[in-house]
Amino acid sequence: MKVNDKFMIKGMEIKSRLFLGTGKFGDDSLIPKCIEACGAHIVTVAIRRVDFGASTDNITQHLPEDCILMPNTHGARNAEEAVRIARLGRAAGCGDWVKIEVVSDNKYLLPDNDETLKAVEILVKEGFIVMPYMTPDLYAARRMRDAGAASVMPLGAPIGTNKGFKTREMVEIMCNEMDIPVVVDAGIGKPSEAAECMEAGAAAVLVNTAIATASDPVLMAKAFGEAVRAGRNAYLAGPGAVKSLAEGSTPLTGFLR
Amino acid sequence: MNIILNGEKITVRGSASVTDILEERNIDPKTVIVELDGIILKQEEFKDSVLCEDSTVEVLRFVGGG
Repeated sequence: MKVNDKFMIKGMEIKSRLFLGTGKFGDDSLIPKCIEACGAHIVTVAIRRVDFGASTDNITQHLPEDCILMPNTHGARNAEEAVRIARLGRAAGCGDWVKIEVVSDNKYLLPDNDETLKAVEILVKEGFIVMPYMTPDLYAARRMRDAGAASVMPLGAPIGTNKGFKTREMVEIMCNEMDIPVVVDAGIGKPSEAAECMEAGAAAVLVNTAIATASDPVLMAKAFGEAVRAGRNAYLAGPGAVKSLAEGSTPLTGFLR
Repeated sequence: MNIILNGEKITVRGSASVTDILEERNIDPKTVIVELDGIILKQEEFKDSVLCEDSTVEVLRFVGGG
């Protein structure tokens, strides 16, 4: 049994392979309960203009102090905007972690790998721990790594669709070939799909919509936490071979005749 | 004088500081990030950061996001 399965990013041990996004929760007070239920250590947040007419809180007041806050650069349409948002997050005391998200396609919200790479190159030089959200592509992932990305975050399906692990073939290749963590981000709708990502060799999974929009978000968070652990254990255990012909589990000798 | 606050043109009194702008709107300075004319301010700089005609101020905060 493999007991030493520490998950390290840039020398830091990450206590959970499930990252939790904090958007779309009907009630922000559910967020700490979901974090506790699933055990997430890395939690993503976004940065927006204050609406002076509304009484919205700063989301960080709902987050446990021992979480790693990872601002995303959602809203950025190019590298320059992503860099600006990343710097704002760090200035706000969020630390050095940042999830680069550069999207200019408003229909499918697909990430722009070229602009994302430009942002990675700049932010790594500024000392950020950079985790780029990307369209699954091995060559692009290698360029992100060469630029100093701490991990790569290929999408499982378009953001918020809950469609599941539709990019498995491409992501599995990335998992096999990359020497930095591959974190499946976006589109994962059910715990079984998160487990599938982990079985495919993903280092972690980021989930938001599937938990936040569940009828019982806290219970769903618990289920995702369990699924990610189960999937990881299955990956480490090494699944048996798939065969085309039936092969009974019971011995084929010593029949009663 | 006129400034741009979060994308909207507004009129404020001369020599208003970032702290003044936040206090008038009941915003706890500890909960926001402020960018003045493209420069990110530290919280301790809010009080002494005086706005000028056509200053552009962005007041931001963390919200839920994936």
